[in-house]
Amino acid sequence: MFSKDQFRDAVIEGIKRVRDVSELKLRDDESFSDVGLDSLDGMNLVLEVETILGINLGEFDLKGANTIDTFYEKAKEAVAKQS
Amino acid sequence: MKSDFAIKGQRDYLSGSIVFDFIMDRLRRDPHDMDMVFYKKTLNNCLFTSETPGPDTVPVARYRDRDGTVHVLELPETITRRVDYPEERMVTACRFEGLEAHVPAVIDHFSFIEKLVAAYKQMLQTMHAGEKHKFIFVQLKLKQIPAGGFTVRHERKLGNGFFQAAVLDDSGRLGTVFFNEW
Repeated sequence: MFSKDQFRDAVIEGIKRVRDVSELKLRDDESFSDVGLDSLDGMNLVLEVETILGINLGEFDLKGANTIDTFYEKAKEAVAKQS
Repeated sequence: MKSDFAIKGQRDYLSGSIVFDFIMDRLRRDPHDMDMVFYKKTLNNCLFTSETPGPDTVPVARYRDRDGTVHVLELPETITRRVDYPEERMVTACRFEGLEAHVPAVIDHFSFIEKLVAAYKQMLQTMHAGEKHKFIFVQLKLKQIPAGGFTVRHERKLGNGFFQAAVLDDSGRLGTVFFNEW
Protein backbone atom coordinates (compact mmCIF):
# COMPACT_ATOMS: atom_id res chain seq x y z
CA MET A 1 0.00 0.00 0.00
CA PHE A 2 1.07 3.60 -0.53
CA SER A 3 1.36 6.36 2.03
CA LYS A 4 -0.53 9.64 1.87
CA ASP A 5 2.74 11.43 1.03
CA GLN A 6 3.46 9.03 -1.84
CA PHE A 7 -0.08 9.42 -3.09
CA ARG A 8 0.05 13.22 -2.91
CA ASP A 9 3.34 13.25 -4.86
CA ALA A 10 1.83 10.94 -7.48
CA VAL A 11 -1.26 13.12 -7.89
CA ILE A 12 0.81 16.30 -8.21
CA GLU A 13 3.13 14.66 -10.75
CA GLY A 14 0.13 13.19 -12.56
CA ILE A 15 -1.59 16.56 -12.88
CA LYS A 16 1.65 18.12 -14.14
CA ARG A 17 1.86 15.47 -16.86
CA VAL A 18 -1.81 15.74 -17.79
CA ARG A 19 -1.78 19.55 -17.89
CA ASP A 20 1.75 19.68 -19.34
CA VAL A 21 2.96 22.16 -16.71
CA SER A 22 6.18 22.19 -14.74
CA GLU A 23 4.89 23.83 -11.54
CA LEU A 24 1.75 23.09 -9.58
CA LYS A 25 0.47 23.99 -6.14
CA LEU A 26 -2.54 22.12 -4.82
CA ARG A 27 -3.78 21.76 -1.26
CA ASP A 28 -5.05 18.37 -0.15
CA ASP A 29 -8.60 19.73 0.09
CA GLU A 30 -8.55 21.77 -3.12
CA SER A 31 -10.65 20.59 -6.06
CA PHE A 32 -8.88 19.31 -9.17
CA SER A 33 -11.16 21.53 -11.22
CA ASP A 34 -9.51 24.53 -9.52
CA VAL A 35 -6.33 23.68 -11.41
CA GLY A 36 -8.21 23.25 -14.67
CA LEU A 37 -8.87 19.50 -14.84
CA ASP A 38 -11.91 18.49 -16.87
CA SER A 39 -13.44 15.00 -17.05
CA LEU A 40 -11.02 13.75 -19.71
CA ASP A 41 -8.08 15.11 -17.70
CA GLY A 42 -9.52 13.35 -14.66
CA MET A 43 -9.52 10.03 -16.47
CA ASN A 44 -5.91 10.61 -17.51
CA LEU A 45 -5.00 11.55 -13.94
CA VAL A 46 -6.27 8.16 -12.77
CA LEU A 47 -4.07 6.47 -15.41
CA GLU A 48 -1.02 8.54 -14.43
CA VAL A 49 -1.43 7.81 -10.72
CA GLU A 50 -1.77 4.10 -11.49
CA THR A 51 1.43 4.21 -13.55
CA ILE A 52 3.43 6.24 -11.03
CA LEU A 53 2.42 4.10 -8.04
CA GLY A 54 2.27 0.80 -9.94
CA ILE A 55 -1.29 0.12 -8.82
CA ASN A 56 -4.54 -0.91 -10.47
CA LEU A 57 -7.63 1.02 -9.42
CA GLY A 58 -9.98 -1.13 -11.51
CA GLU A 59 -13.28 0.41 -12.59
CA PHE A 60 -12.48 3.66 -10.83
CA ASP A 61 -14.74 6.70 -10.85
CA LEU A 62 -13.17 10.01 -9.85
CA LYS A 63 -16.66 11.31 -9.02
CA GLY A 64 -16.71 12.27 -5.36
CA ALA A 65 -12.93 12.04 -5.28
CA ASN A 66 -11.92 15.36 -6.76
CA THR A 67 -9.39 16.37 -4.12
CA ILE A 68 -6.18 14.69 -2.97
CA ASP A 69 -7.88 13.85 0.35
CA THR A 70 -10.92 12.17 -1.19
CA PHE A 71 -9.01 10.59 -4.08
CA TYR A 72 -6.60 9.02 -1.56
CA GLU A 73 -9.40 7.49 0.51
CA LYS A 74 -11.22 6.15 -2.53
CA ALA A 75 -7.98 4.82 -4.08
CA LYS A 76 -7.12 2.91 -0.89
CA GLU A 77 -10.53 1.23 -1.01
CA ALA A 78 -10.15 0.45 -4.71
CA VAL A 79 -6.71 -1.13 -4.29
CA ALA A 80 -7.94 -3.19 -1.34
CA LYS A 81 -10.84 -4.41 -3.48
CA GLN A 82 -8.47 -5.36 -6.31
CA SER A 83 -6.16 -7.44 -4.10
CA MET B 1 -2.15 22.89 -42.84
CA LYS B 2 -5.90 23.19 -43.42
CA SER B 3 -8.29 20.31 -43.94
CA ASP B 4 -11.01 19.77 -46.52
CA PHE B 5 -12.95 17.07 -44.73
CA ALA B 6 -16.15 15.22 -45.53
CA ILE B 7 -18.47 14.00 -42.78
CA LYS B 8 -18.89 10.24 -42.58
CA GLY B 9 -22.41 8.98 -43.21
CA GLN B 10 -25.13 10.84 -41.32
CA ARG B 11 -22.99 11.76 -38.32
CA ASP B 12 -23.49 15.17 -36.71
CA TYR B 13 -19.82 15.59 -35.86
CA LEU B 14 -16.38 15.25 -37.42
CA SER B 15 -15.18 11.71 -36.67
CA GLY B 16 -11.97 11.39 -34.70
CA SER B 17 -10.80 8.75 -37.14
CA ILE B 18 -10.82 11.34 -39.96
CA VAL B 19 -8.60 13.65 -37.93
CA PHE B 20 -6.23 10.84 -36.97
CA ASP B 21 -5.96 9.59 -40.55
CA PHE B 22 -5.27 13.14 -41.80
CA ILE B 23 -2.27 13.33 -39.48
CA MET B 24 -1.07 9.86 -40.47
CA ASP B 25 -1.46 10.57 -44.19
CA ARG B 26 -0.13 14.13 -44.34
CA LEU B 27 2.06 14.81 -41.33
CA ARG B 28 3.66 11.57 -40.15
CA ARG B 29 5.62 8.87 -41.93
CA ASP B 30 6.61 6.44 -39.16
CA PRO B 31 4.81 7.45 -35.97
CA HIS B 32 5.80 6.02 -32.59
CA ASP B 33 4.49 6.60 -29.06
CA MET B 34 1.35 8.36 -30.19
CA ASP B 35 -1.12 10.07 -27.88
CA MET B 36 -4.19 11.56 -29.55
CA VAL B 37 -6.86 13.31 -27.48
CA PHE B 38 -10.15 14.84 -28.62
CA TYR B 39 -11.50 17.77 -26.61
CA LYS B 40 -14.64 18.86 -28.42
CA LYS B 41 -17.06 17.99 -31.19
CA THR B 42 -16.99 20.01 -34.37
CA LEU B 43 -18.60 20.07 -37.79
CA ASN B 44 -16.00 22.46 -39.14
CA ASN B 45 -12.78 22.09 -41.04
CA CYS B 46 -9.61 22.27 -38.99
CA LEU B 47 -6.18 23.81 -38.92
CA PHE B 48 -3.27 21.48 -38.07
CA THR B 49 -0.41 23.34 -36.43
CA SER B 50 2.57 22.78 -34.18
CA GLU B 51 2.03 26.17 -32.56
CA THR B 52 0.52 25.94 -29.09
CA PRO B 53 -2.88 27.66 -28.99
CA GLY B 54 -3.61 30.45 -26.54
CA PRO B 55 -5.04 29.64 -23.11
CA ASP B 56 -8.57 30.66 -24.17
CA THR B 57 -8.65 28.35 -27.18
CA VAL B 58 -10.15 24.89 -26.77
CA PRO B 59 -8.66 22.76 -29.53
CA VAL B 60 -10.60 20.05 -31.32
CA ALA B 61 -7.76 17.64 -30.62
CA ARG B 62 -4.12 17.31 -29.76
CA TYR B 63 -1.74 14.73 -31.22
CA ARG B 64 1.66 13.95 -29.71
CA ASP B 65 4.40 11.52 -30.63
CA ARG B 66 8.21 11.28 -30.66
CA ASP B 67 8.35 13.90 -33.40
CA GLY B 68 6.36 16.55 -31.58
CA THR B 69 2.87 17.90 -31.10
CA VAL B 70 0.12 18.74 -33.57
CA HIS B 71 -2.72 20.95 -32.35
CA VAL B 72 -6.00 20.62 -34.22
CA LEU B 73 -7.95 23.88 -34.18
CA GLU B 74 -11.45 24.59 -35.40
CA LEU B 75 -11.78 26.81 -38.49
CA PRO B 76 -14.91 28.89 -39.21
CA GLU B 77 -15.91 26.92 -42.34
CA THR B 78 -18.56 24.27 -41.76
CA ILE B 79 -17.99 20.98 -43.57
CA THR B 80 -20.66 20.52 -46.21
CA ARG B 81 -19.50 17.36 -48.00
CA ARG B 82 -20.61 13.94 -46.85
CA VAL B 83 -19.33 10.50 -47.84
CA ASP B 84 -20.91 7.08 -47.58
CA TYR B 85 -19.45 5.17 -44.65
CA PRO B 86 -20.46 1.50 -44.46
CA GLU B 87 -19.14 0.89 -40.96
CA GLU B 88 -21.13 -2.35 -40.74
CA ARG B 89 -18.77 -3.90 -43.29
CA MET B 90 -15.95 -3.66 -40.76
CA VAL B 91 -18.11 -5.01 -37.95
CA THR B 92 -19.09 -7.99 -40.09
CA ALA B 93 -15.44 -8.74 -40.87
CA CYS B 94 -14.41 -8.74 -37.19
CA ARG B 95 -14.68 -11.78 -34.92
CA PHE B 96 -16.19 -10.97 -31.51
CA GLU B 97 -15.44 -13.27 -28.58
CA GLY B 98 -16.54 -12.12 -25.13
CA LEU B 99 -14.60 -8.99 -24.26
CA GLU B 100 -12.40 -9.22 -27.36
CA ALA B 101 -12.73 -8.29 -31.00
CA HIS B 102 -10.31 -9.78 -33.49
CA VAL B 103 -9.78 -7.41 -36.38
CA PRO B 104 -8.32 -8.68 -39.66
CA ALA B 105 -5.37 -6.97 -41.32
CA VAL B 106 -7.36 -5.86 -44.34
CA ILE B 107 -11.03 -4.91 -44.57
CA ASP B 108 -11.66 -3.23 -47.90
CA HIS B 109 -9.93 0.18 -47.91
CA PHE B 110 -10.55 0.95 -44.24
CA SER B 111 -7.70 2.34 -42.14
CA PHE B 112 -6.38 1.00 -38.84
CA ILE B 113 -8.19 3.65 -36.81
CA GLU B 114 -11.48 3.13 -38.67
CA LYS B 115 -11.32 -0.59 -37.91
CA LEU B 116 -10.37 -0.01 -34.27
CA VAL B 117 -13.19 2.49 -33.71
CA ALA B 118 -15.78 0.31 -35.47
CA ALA B 119 -14.78 -2.78 -33.50
CA TYR B 120 -14.75 -1.21 -30.03
CA LYS B 121 -17.92 0.79 -30.68
CA GLN B 122 -19.68 -2.43 -31.64
CA MET B 123 -18.44 -4.11 -28.44
CA LEU B 124 -19.70 -1.22 -26.29
CA GLN B 125 -23.05 -1.13 -28.06
CA THR B 126 -23.44 -4.87 -27.49
CA MET B 127 -22.50 -4.51 -23.82
CA HIS B 128 -25.05 -1.71 -23.44
CA ALA B 129 -27.79 -3.10 -25.66
CA GLY B 130 -31.09 -1.36 -25.10
CA GLU B 131 -29.48 1.83 -23.75
CA LYS B 132 -29.61 5.03 -25.73
CA HIS B 133 -25.94 5.89 -25.58
CA LYS B 134 -23.61 7.00 -28.32
CA PHE B 135 -20.02 5.89 -27.93
CA ILE B 136 -17.39 8.29 -29.16
CA PHE B 137 -13.66 7.75 -29.67
CA VAL B 138 -11.88 10.26 -27.41
CA GLN B 139 -8.28 9.14 -26.90
CA LEU B 140 -5.64 6.77 -28.25
CA LYS B 141 -2.26 5.96 -26.73
CA LEU B 142 -0.31 3.71 -29.06
CA LYS B 143 3.32 2.61 -29.41
CA GLN B 144 2.90 1.97 -33.12
CA ILE B 145 0.26 1.08 -35.65
CA PRO B 146 -0.03 -2.70 -36.03
CA ALA B 147 1.31 -4.03 -39.30
CA GLY B 148 -1.36 -6.71 -39.58
CA GLY B 149 -4.44 -7.86 -37.74
CA PHE B 150 -5.00 -6.86 -34.14
CA THR B 151 -7.20 -7.48 -31.13
CA VAL B 152 -9.27 -4.99 -29.13
CA ARG B 153 -9.83 -6.12 -25.54
CA HIS B 154 -12.31 -4.25 -23.35
CA GLU B 155 -10.68 -3.60 -19.98
CA ARG B 156 -12.84 -1.38 -17.82
CA LYS B 157 -15.29 1.42 -17.33
CA LEU B 158 -13.84 4.54 -15.79
CA GLY B 159 -15.72 7.49 -14.29
CA ASN B 160 -17.72 10.05 -16.28
CA GLY B 161 -18.72 7.54 -18.95
CA PHE B 162 -15.22 6.63 -20.13
CA PHE B 163 -14.36 3.15 -21.35
CA GLN B 164 -10.89 1.65 -21.80
CA ALA B 165 -9.71 -1.10 -24.14
CA ALA B 166 -6.30 -2.55 -24.91
CA VAL B 167 -4.98 -2.80 -28.46
CA LEU B 168 -2.86 -5.90 -28.97
CA ASP B 169 -1.13 -7.77 -31.76
CA ASP B 170 1.15 -10.82 -31.91
CA SER B 171 3.98 -8.84 -30.27
CA GLY B 172 1.84 -7.93 -27.24
CA ARG B 173 0.17 -4.78 -26.03
CA LEU B 174 0.45 -1.85 -28.41
CA GLY B 175 -1.59 0.64 -26.49
CA THR B 176 -4.94 1.77 -25.15
CA VAL B 177 -8.04 3.30 -26.67
CA PHE B 178 -10.67 5.29 -24.78
CA PHE B 179 -14.28 5.99 -25.64
CA ASN B 180 -16.84 8.21 -23.94
CA GLU B 181 -20.60 7.73 -23.81
CA TRP B 182 -22.81 10.66 -24.83
